[in-house]
Order: sequence, then structure tokens, then C-alpha cells
Amino acid sequence: MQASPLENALYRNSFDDGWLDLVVGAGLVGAGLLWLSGGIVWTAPLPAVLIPLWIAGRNSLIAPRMAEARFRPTREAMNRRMFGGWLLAGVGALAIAAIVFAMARGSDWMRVADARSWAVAIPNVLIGAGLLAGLVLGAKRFALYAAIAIAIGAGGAIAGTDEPGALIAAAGAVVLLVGVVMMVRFMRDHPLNGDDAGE
Amino acid sequence: MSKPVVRELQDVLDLDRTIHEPARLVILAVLNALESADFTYLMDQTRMTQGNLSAHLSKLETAGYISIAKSFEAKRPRTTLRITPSGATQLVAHARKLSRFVTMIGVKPDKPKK
Repeated sequence: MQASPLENALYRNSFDDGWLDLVVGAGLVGAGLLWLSGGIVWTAPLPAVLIPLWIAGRNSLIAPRMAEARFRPTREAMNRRMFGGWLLAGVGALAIAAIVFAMARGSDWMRVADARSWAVAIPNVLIGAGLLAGLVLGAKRFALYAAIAIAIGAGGAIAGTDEPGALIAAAGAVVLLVGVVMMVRFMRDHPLNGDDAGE
Repeated sequence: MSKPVVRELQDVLDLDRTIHEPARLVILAVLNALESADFTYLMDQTRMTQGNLSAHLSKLETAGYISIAKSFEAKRPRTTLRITPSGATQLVAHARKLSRFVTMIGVKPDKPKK
């Protein structure tokens, strides 16, 4: 059964708390700052920290304020399929990038396996997947973030910046700032009530 | 009083007033889009007051259009609301009647804003 526009709107609203923006923004700023400080390798475990953080925050900060609404199993299945698709697309993009990289370097596969290259690629692909996840959820602001990130990247390239870390951090700061504003607004509008007010 | 000749007019006169009240129509529409919802979620989405929402839910429950289940979770009371199969059927029938009536008066329905 196809989801109704109302179901889609309600589902979208359940992610309008800013928490996903805050986590994705923090991830991008963190990755950018680590890059700038020379600790690129440390960006690799970043997603492993951010994903559980997002889940924990959603359960402890958002859920008690939002109360619960259970969506139809068909929607959950649809989301799993979409996330799976995005993940496959990400892995595919990474594989294509690796092949192109190898060809450019004369098929030297050992260089492709360079830990430093993967350390940079993996978190950025996963954080990019975070932005895509926002789009999958139907939050259009994530498309805007992607456009801003591209604009910042293009601006950096035109200005001749040779530090991509600064550009990643700048794009992340925009997402983080929006996330903070949304989160503050959400907390203000959804105070933590002790009891369900039912009847 | 004899019935109007046009069926769609009679349909409107026969509308189920339990569903037709705006607040109850909204409640049923939200519950129809979900598997289940908490009382607070519904209050948040509809912006109704606690008393107002409670009164409308009671009427819908009496009509058999929704089910209300009360439970405790971590010592906090929780009220879970679901639309019943009868409620879902009535909501769809109601929407169809309104849709036919809207078409009859020459208004094209707008697409929902995204």
C-alpha cells in the first residue's frame, strides 16, 4: 500500500527536531578540524561514534518529548530498502573512485589501499550518507545543505584553498548551527512532561 | 421531506456527524495514517487542548471508530490510540462522499502542499 501524503508529512515532522542536523553537522566539523590538525586517520572511527550517538540522543532527548507514534510496517520496510540502496550506492561510488584512482596512478593497487586515503574517504562517504539519509526522510533542508556544501567547495576551489578540512568544517558549521537552532526550538515547544495526559 | 434528486446532495445530508466534526475528522485522518499514536503525540500534531482532545476521543471511541488502550511504561501512564477497521472504512466512505460533492460543485481539489 502506498503511503498517503499525510503519512509522509507526519513522518517528516518526526525528524524536525534538529538532532540529525546537529549530529551530521558535528561530524562534518569534527572531520574538518581533524583534517586541519593533521589527524586525518582519526576521522575513520567518527561514524562509529556518531551513529550510536544519534540513536541514543533520539531515544533519550527526542522520544520522551515527542511521545510515540508508530508508523506502518510498510513504511519501515520502505525505509530499510532505501537506506540499503543508498549504502550500496555509496559503496559503489567508493569502488568507482578507487578504480579511477588506481588507473590514474598506473594501476598501482597498493597505493589505492593506502590507509590514509581510505581513512579520509570512509567517514566522508558515511557523513555524505547522513546527508542523503536526511533527504530520504524527506527533510528538504538536507538538499539545501548539500547545495551549500557544494557552493563552499566551489568557492574554496576558486579561492585556491588547499585545505579541504577548512571547507568541510565550514559546511558542517552551517548544518550544526541550523541543528542547534532547531533543537532549541524543539526543546522549548516540547517540554518534558512527566505523564501522558490521556483522558 | 422528500429526498433531493441529486444523489451527491443526499450524501452530504446523510454525512456521519460523528466524523464530520472538524476536530474528529482530523483525529481520524491522523490515526488512519499511523499504526498507533500516543495521546501526547496526537495533542502535539493537532494542537488541541487536553480536555478538547479527550472529549472528541471519547465520542469516537463510543462510535467504535477508535480504540483506546491504557498502560504504564516506566511508571508513567500511557494512552495508545488506534483507528479501528470500522473507523477506517467510515473515514474513507466519508472522504469519497465529500470528494464527489466537491466535484459536483465544480471545484477541482488542490494537490496537498509538500
